[in-house]
Amino acid sequence: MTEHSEHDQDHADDHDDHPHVGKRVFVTVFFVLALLTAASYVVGNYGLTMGFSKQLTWLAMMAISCAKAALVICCFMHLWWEANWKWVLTVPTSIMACFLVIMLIPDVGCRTSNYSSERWNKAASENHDVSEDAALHDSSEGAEEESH
Amino acid sequence: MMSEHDNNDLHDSHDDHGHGHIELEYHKALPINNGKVCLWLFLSTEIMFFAALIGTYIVLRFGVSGIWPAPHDVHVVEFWGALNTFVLICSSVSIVLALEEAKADQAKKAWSWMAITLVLGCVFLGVKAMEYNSKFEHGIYPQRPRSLIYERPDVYYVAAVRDAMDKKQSEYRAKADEIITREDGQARDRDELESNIEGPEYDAAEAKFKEFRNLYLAGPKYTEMLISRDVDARDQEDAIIALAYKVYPLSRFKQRVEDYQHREEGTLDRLLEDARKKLAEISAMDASTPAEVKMLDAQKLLAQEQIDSIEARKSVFWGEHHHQDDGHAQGWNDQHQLKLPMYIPNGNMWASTYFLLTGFHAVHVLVGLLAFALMLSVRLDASRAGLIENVGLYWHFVDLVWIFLFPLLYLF
Repeated sequence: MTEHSEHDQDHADDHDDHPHVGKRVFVTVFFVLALLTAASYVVGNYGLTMGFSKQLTWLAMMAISCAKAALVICCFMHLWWEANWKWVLTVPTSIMACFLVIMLIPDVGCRTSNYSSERWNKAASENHDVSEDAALHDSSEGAEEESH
Repeated sequence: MMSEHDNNDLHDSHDDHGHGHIELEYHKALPINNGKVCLWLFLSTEIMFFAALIGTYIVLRFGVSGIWPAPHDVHVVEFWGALNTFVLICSSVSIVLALEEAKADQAKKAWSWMAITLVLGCVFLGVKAMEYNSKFEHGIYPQRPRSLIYERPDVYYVAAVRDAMDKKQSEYRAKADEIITREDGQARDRDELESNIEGPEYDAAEAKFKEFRNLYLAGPKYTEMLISRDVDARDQEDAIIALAYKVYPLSRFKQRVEDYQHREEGTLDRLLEDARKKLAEISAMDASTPAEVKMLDAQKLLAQEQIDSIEARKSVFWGEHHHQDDGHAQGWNDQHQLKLPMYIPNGNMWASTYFLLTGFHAVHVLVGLLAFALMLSVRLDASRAGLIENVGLYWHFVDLVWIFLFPLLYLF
């Protein structure tokens, strides 16, 4: 019966859409993820002592996180082997997610640029102290890192 | 229960063997089962939910005025975060392996992997609970009245420290008085304490009280005296930050406090001399009416307290060296098991975002654990593979969120 073989094909699409992926792939991905976590930890804790700037360590850690997320999504969540429907669900959602964040920037992210002096009086630290504190913070953090 | 396969089979056979009519082919809109479609739709909403949460955190954190608390300022230990990340990765791979075994119809193996996933999820929540506890113990809550976080080094902060220490001081006094009080309520002399236990016990309690009272005088009392006088605004702020640093040291203020210490130490002797002179002046005054006597006595007491606080400042305030333990500098709160108000700039914002992000994530973990627990009660053979896959997808998403939370909350 030709129909039956078609159904088998259907069934394969349902559950067994990546028949050639062995457990070995998952275990390999697991080790890569663990390694990337360790890398993230090292960069976060010792990045400054290794002479990288704070921004660079942030960038590196986010890149590592994105790589880890990609591995989990593609491999563990099987999206790599899924049919084209995956784009329908993931792409619009990701765009929406990015928009959500961007929309927060003018009102929330840049909130202090419109602070009045009365508002500054109630802020966690004062405007004129910011640069000074930041300098102190950086130097003391450097010292702390060296003592590790 | 009829599986989807059987269902399709029936459906199609009806179409195909329809007495030679038009042959209809069955095509699903999406080549996946309904459960998976629903779960992916749910995950899309979850992606946006967590994107909004994490995005708000990023925007709040980097748009903040002043400095965001460093991890060690708020008892965040990087190691526990890294461990939890590793635990979640392990649980992610174990649920994938459970699915693989279920597909191969190895129900027992699938059950074991699922059980391992459940245990790993519990480990994650256990570590999380321990981390929360370490914050609660130090008075780091998202909100008053439990939160001890103050965001500005101002007179309100000093007053709050003074009140808290005053209360504690009274407790120590009461403890010592309790030992020395007779059954009829009258106080005894120290010499009257007859038993071998009572005497030393009283001395210890008295010493404890005196030690604490010295801290009280050297800390908030001296600071209040200083900022009530007409001194430079920068000095006032430095003095308050020095007090805050003694209560709960933040590494970023170390240099500033040390600089201030050098400046202050040069002035203490002169201050002490002035205070003594003032006391001598007051003592020399004559009082005629009872009201005047009362006023003079009050002034004398005040002058004496000033002298005491300057002396205490000289002897105990700067003398003590806090030791670094596990990255956390030890202040009075840790050394003396106190719960004094702490000055942590942006600490409230930090606490709100931290507890919100990790709390929502922990709720998701909890839901996943419930699902695992329910699934452990059924036979996990090939017919359940779809179910396991769906639960697994959800679990991977929970892992995914943590992959971003870990560096953002622990390492940035």
